[in-house]
Amino acid sequence: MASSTSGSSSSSKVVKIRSSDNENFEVEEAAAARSETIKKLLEDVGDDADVIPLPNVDAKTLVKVMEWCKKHMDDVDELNKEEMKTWDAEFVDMDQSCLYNVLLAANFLNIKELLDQLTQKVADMIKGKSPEEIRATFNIKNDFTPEEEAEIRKQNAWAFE
Amino acid sequence: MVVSPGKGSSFLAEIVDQGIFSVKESYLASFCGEVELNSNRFWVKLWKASLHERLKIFLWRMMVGIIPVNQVISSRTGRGNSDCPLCESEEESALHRFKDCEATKALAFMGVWGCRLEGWSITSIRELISFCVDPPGDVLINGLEKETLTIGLACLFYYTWNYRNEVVYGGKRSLIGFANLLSERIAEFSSARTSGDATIGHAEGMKENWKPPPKNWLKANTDAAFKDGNAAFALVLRDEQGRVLFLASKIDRVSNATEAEVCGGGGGGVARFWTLVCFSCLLVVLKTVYTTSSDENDAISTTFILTLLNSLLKTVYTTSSDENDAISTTFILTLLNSCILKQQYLYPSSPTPGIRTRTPQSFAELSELDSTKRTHQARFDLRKLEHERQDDACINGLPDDILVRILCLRSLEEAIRTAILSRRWKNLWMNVPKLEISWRNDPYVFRPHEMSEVKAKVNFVNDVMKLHERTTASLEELTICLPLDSKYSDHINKWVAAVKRRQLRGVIKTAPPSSIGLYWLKDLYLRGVNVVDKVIECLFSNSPFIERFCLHYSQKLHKLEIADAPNLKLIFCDHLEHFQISAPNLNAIMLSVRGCPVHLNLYAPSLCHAALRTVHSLMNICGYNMFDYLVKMLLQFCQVNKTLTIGFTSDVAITICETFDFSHQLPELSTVEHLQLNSSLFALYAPFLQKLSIKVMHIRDTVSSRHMELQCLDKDGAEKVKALANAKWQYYSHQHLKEVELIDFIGSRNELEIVLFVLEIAALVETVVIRICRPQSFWLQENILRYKENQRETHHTHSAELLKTLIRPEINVII
Repeated sequence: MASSTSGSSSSSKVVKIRSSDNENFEVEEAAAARSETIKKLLEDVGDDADVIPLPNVDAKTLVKVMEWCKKHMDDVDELNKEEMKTWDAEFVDMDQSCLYNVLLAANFLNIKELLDQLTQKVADMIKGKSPEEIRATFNIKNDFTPEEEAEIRKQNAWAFE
Repeated sequence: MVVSPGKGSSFLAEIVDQGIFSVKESYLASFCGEVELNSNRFWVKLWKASLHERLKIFLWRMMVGIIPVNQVISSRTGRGNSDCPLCESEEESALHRFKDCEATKALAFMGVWGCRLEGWSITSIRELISFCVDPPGDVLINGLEKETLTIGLACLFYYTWNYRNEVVYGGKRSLIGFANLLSERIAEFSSARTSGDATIGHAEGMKENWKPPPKNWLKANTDAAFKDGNAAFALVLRDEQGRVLFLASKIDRVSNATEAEVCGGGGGGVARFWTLVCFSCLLVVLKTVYTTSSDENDAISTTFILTLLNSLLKTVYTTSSDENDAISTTFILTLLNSCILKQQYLYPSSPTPGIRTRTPQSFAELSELDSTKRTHQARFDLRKLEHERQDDACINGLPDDILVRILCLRSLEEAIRTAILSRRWKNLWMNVPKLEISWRNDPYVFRPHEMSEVKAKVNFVNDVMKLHERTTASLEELTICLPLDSKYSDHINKWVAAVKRRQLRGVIKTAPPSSIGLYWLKDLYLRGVNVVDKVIECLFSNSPFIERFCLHYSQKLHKLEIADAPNLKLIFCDHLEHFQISAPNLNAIMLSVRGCPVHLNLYAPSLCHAALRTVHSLMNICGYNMFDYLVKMLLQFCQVNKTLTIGFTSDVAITICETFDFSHQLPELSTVEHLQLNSSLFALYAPFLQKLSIKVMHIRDTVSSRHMELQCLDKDGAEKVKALANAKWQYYSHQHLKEVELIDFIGSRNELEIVLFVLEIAALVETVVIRICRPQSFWLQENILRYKENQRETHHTHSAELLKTLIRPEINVII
């Protein structure tokens, strides 16, 4: 299991979190506090916190999210910004089901920055595509009848030019 | 017949009551000497209780006193310690074990509903059990069900005993861990009670409480048992009616029970066995498909099977060598599921080496393997699997608010285009909080042939408004940017009214607005609108609620007179020659001056922020006395309360500098708290100034000679300032100046001098903030250029550090 802490960071405080499939993770508090939800929980329970259960996030997704949190733990200075950008770009480049899981997790854990990055990623996937292409990209089944579709097209004709 | 003395008559009466009296009955009854006479009802209650058999048996054992607690053992054998192994302070009687012991109390309290055993007046095991089986009404608070309490208590007793034994024979155990286990078990037993009966009837011998999967799904239960180095694995596939579709089992040698569990289907471990099972199954399916392929109605196409076979083969390859396989057992099971679902009539009949397959009749035999009660379930929707073999997640699964967030990041057109994707998306775009209807061409140039398109958009806006009227969608901002003329004034009024009703912030950019009465208009942004002064006058008299007013690039408008604007808070104007306004609530004003100076007449008692900028240097050509002009302007701004920004382009500043007239009395800026200057030439009297920001003009052009020249001039100016300030500022000590800010610091000489001078005269400065100029014009170019820029930046930093050493040590310098 990919426990997120290792070695050097012995000085910082560690919090334990548990995924929906009952895997436990140890994460540095600063990283976990990127999530407003966890931060609030930590404030509520105080120091004697036991394992924090996250019933909506499975282990695989949690590993991904915590990877991001760890990377974004400290505020970046100017020089690292470029590097961070490329890292973020690589990070959001994942397969769709993974993307949605992380997106849901970011939403649940209330990590605004990550949510922004991921929604931007999906928005970029929509960009400049025709409806047919979007359907193909996202596997959306067209459940309109041809008449209904024509009606919608007619209503918003100017948007479809 | 041995009947205890004193019990006889009532005892007999009890049995006679039931009408079945025989010697055998009374003989058996006499054996339960300690059991009280009306106990039959009690037993009936116990055996009828909706409890798992295991728990019932345990309660019975408790009741008849054969749980081997220490007190029982020591009293029967006469040896051993009768103390409680957990608390070591009291004798371990059954009542102590199940009620009074601290550990038991702790478990009870940490359990699901946190009950306090000591609160109940129970003095014997019998009372305890009858309390458990038939709880009195007064303890059932908070909507607690009788059955729940019974199950909870029975589990508590059972697992307390387990816990005690684990501690005695297995060493120290965590009480918290056991409390969690207890909670889990209670939930398990409760769900077994509520869901069990419906399904058990279908498959005989099925003692487990098995829940059917949803329609079109298959459920695969797997398990493993381990004994003496041999492990047996088993798999059962059932459909939603509980029919057994497929069975497989295998005996293998493993080293320990954990490994057996893992092999048996636990999370993604060794998948070999299941791969083989699937493989054999698939072969059978394939065979059937080929034999029955003449049937047109056959649901499984050969290609589908081949695809499955292909992926399965891949799985075999990836998993056979590596234990940490990426594709888990469940995935293979899904493949298996999907094979079988389509061929429900099919049972595997051809045994493959190493695997015994069985018919459903031998299920009872298989169920004996269910010793560990661990059930792994793999459920997958077959239809999904067919459509999207790699992705089982779909964007449609995301909640609305995330999808709306995504749509917000795209233009309105693109967002609307998603309406056609599917029903799910049809109305999603309506929830986008900001609607901006824009014009693809330059909105300020009107082309007659585009009339129809304008009309379409206006109709669209009307439709959107109607939709928003009906739905509760949360529109926060509406921006309409269209070339409209007076024909559309009714529409605009409607929109504005709708915007007002919903308390929105509406921005309406139109060209031209003509003489329309926008009674509710709050925010007016005119850009490139060729309005004449009459129109604006009319507009303001018709729209008393205007809060913000922006006027950009209006070529024809030279004179602006706003007689009365009670709610106006912000005004932004440029290129005006004549400006007269009376606005008691005006909060901020931004004026850009072009060419000729403005004749300004201002009444704005609550003005807080004011900015004055020159755009280009035509003033020189006008030959106007810049200094006089400045003084006039400043007189107008005397009312400014907080922030005053004065920004002149460098050559204007130089002109001012050159025409500086020392004889003039500078206006008093008695209320300004924050003064922002972008030129180094001002020495203003502002006794209550708290913060001074100086943005020294410097040339970012690369023409170095020009740069030098200007620096010289600036330096000249600085000396003049110094001279002037010495003359004037010495009379006033700047008692309130606390913060000095230098923006775009490049480390030129005059900057240093100004700062030092300011610090000299303002004794109480606490902070000096130096924002070092970060050159931005070269960022996108070649590496070499950027490098040079960086060098300059370090140079600037260096100068700032130098400056820091010159400043009094008690002043906090932030770079």
